[in-house]
Amino acid sequence: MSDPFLYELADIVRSKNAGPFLVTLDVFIRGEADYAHVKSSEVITKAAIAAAYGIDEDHVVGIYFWDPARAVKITLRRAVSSGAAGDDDVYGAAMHMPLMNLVISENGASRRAEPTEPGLARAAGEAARARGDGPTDAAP
Amino acid sequence: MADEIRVLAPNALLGYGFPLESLEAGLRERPHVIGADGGSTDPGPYYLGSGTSFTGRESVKRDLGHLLRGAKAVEAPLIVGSCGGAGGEPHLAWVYEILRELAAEQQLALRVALIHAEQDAATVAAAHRAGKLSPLSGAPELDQQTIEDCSRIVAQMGYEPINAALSEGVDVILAGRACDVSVYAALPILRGADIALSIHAAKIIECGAYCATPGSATDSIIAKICDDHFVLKATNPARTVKAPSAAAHSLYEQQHPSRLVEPVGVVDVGAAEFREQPDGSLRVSGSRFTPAANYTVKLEGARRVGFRAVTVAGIRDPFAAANLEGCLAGARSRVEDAFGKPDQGAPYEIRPHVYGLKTNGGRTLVDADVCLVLDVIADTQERASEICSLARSTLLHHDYPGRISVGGNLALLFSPHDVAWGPVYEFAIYHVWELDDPLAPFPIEYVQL
Repeated sequence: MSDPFLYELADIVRSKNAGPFLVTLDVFIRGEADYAHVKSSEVITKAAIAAAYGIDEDHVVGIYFWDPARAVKITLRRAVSSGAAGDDDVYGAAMHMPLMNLVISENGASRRAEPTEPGLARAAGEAARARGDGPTDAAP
Repeated sequence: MADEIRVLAPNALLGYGFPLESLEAGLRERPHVIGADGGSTDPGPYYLGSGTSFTGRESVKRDLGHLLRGAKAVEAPLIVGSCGGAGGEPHLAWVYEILRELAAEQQLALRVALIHAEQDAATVAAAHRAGKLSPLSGAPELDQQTIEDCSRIVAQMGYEPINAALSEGVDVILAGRACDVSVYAALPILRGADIALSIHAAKIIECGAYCATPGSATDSIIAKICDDHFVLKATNPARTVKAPSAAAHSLYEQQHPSRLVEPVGVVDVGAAEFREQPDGSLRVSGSRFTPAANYTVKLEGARRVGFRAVTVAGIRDPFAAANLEGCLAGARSRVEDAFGKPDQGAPYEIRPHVYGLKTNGGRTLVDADVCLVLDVIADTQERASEICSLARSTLLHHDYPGRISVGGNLALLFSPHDVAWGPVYEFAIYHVWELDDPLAPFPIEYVQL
């Protein structure tokens, strides 16, 4: 089976302002094994995040893993500060799409520790891509 | 300190509402203090700059009325932080006026502390010259002109000014701009509770029951702060507090997952232990505090950059949608004929926000209505509205190759079409200010109602 999108492994993928000049993205991974895989793989790097968001690498302020919550936090500089001319997301609440659509590459069959609903999640992914929200170059 | 200090957070924001049963259940726990957060920078710079609230007056009055009655019933002080949203002088005055009405209506005698947080430009400029200001991550460098250009500047108070007022035995504290955490951590710290536990608990409850399962920003939570741990309990029996969601909330809207940065220092929650209790509450321990080398508060300043006019329209004809770019170029050109180039003379900006239109390899894909929000900013409201009107009428009738729908390109949503959206602001100051005295920028005024 093909590699999952990050959102397929997560209970929550969210974005929100951390002050008017930063936006912070939180991912809570559902399973321990998936979390370990995401943490150890080279998928969530400054370069990968910068590429997904089309920003300079030095605008990725930090990537932090927090084991107690199986969480990954990524903090970015906003291109336009909250509510200033040209901003189109004042709360920074809808900036998680490029992150949720990252493809997490396969590193072994044991990675999926618990059953998910890949069919359903994938269907949602197809719908998202059909709407044009998803990455155009990622094969499902 | 007492065995435990109980802090009741009725909801995430004053004016959002809460179930009265949840407040009553919270009051039965005999809280030592009731805290209500009134504000945030999240709604953007407009509210700080314009001196208005992003919550409605009736909503704030309803919440405040219930909290006032509850606080009187259990003889606990009521603390409202970041009054009126942005916590400047007009915002504080707005909430104070509501409080006066309520005191009269409920026939309450109240000793009130008003803690001011708005800063004058001269004070901020002096701090800047003295090298006491530094930009927070992502914020621009500061100069004298920027400080003078700001319509309003506020500082986020720590818990110290609130504790100074609490020590005077007041019934109600209305605070201007304050750290969210200060509102809930002040009284526990004043009564001798552990500072790390007090701040960590405050950080989790500052959004009300948002940290519970199921979460809600419009429901109540109580924190019980003990010697070496604290307990979080949703006062609505339909909610429990679970380890993952509370841990998740520890890092909500924070730059870093495990470091809570407050004026007085940093609380590290990285090693905290979250233990679910049989009664649906959550026991938290192990947060650690490191004092800051220098005491700092955040400064927030909003500067007006122009005035906005907006029009909203649907585009349903796929040929019109596919040719939108050309039509927009035509509209810009027509506006330039009438008003000059955008960057010459009196500047203006035309920004089309287009929803639902994607291009793939040069081919435009349309599978639903496209929404166009035309956003025009200019130096005066009149000019912004004039330019918006001209751009909109040009777009409506603009020709393009292969056009078959010559009746018009836009499904204009409303009559009138254009809205004068008012002044546009931006955050120009988002800096930390090194202070010798945590009380100095926050004068306290005592009033008997």
